[in-house]
Amino acid sequence: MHIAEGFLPPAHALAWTVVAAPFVGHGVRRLTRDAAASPAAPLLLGASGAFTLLLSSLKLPSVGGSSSHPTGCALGAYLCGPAVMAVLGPIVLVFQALLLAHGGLTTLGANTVAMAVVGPWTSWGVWRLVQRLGGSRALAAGTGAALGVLATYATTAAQLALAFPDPSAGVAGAFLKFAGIFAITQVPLSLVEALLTVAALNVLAVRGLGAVHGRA
Amino acid sequence: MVARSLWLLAGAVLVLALTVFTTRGTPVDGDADERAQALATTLAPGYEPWVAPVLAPDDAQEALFFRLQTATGLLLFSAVVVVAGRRARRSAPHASASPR
Repeated sequence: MHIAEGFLPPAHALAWTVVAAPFVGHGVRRLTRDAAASPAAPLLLGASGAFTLLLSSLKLPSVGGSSSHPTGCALGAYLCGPAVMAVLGPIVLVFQALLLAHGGLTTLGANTVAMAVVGPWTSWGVWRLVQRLGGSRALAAGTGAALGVLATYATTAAQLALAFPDPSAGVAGAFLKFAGIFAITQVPLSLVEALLTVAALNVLAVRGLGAVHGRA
Repeated sequence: MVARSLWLLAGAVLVLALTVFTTRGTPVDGDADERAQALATTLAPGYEPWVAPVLAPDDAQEALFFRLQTATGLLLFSAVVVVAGRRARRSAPHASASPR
């Protein structure tokens, strides 16, 4: 889902940075408040950041001779709330933009919105909904993780479609083309992300870090 | 719970193995991000990125940095699990000794 450096026109890059900014600001406030309020908060933040760092580094093979990577943002959304992921996500994105030439500083806003805002909020919302409908914690966490990463890639497809509309089919046509590229690759990887997220939640629960946040 | 996590990890490996197995023979054609960039340049043939990446690592350097990221993430996550486990063990006797 990394849109490369300079690959969004300047106006689009600026617009997505403006969209991302309030979410990052809210995340910083939430993180500061939670860190002061709970002795478990540093561990939860550490686990969330580490899991995002780990999973977003796994370039996995997928269908059609392509490869991609999970995002790892769902775990943090469950442990710390989705708002905090708007802070942890960009840290990983900056690391990858500076050292790996994956993503970029000019596209940091767009990539933050896709990976650290839309993905975590989708995961958290689905996680809450499935539990409210009577689903188990594992089912809720897995479904949320899978749909969260798909939402991330759908957002990236929309961002690229807005910047590069199809000359004949417009933005909608371009979105279908970009989404087609990501969907083929990402569906099996979303299943992998779901399984790994539930496994990580189980490991943390055994160590007394199973109390997940029910609030945003 | 730990056994269940191992089963889930095995499931993730199985999904990846099945994905690779069912698409074997398909020529490797870049990652999804590169394909999306190729489509963008097809839709807007004259478009040129207006900023270059800060670093442009070659394949070997990129693989090294990805492994560094993986190792850092794994190390940090393991450290959290160890510290949380110690805390849980320390607080367990207090919990059982507390008045009901």
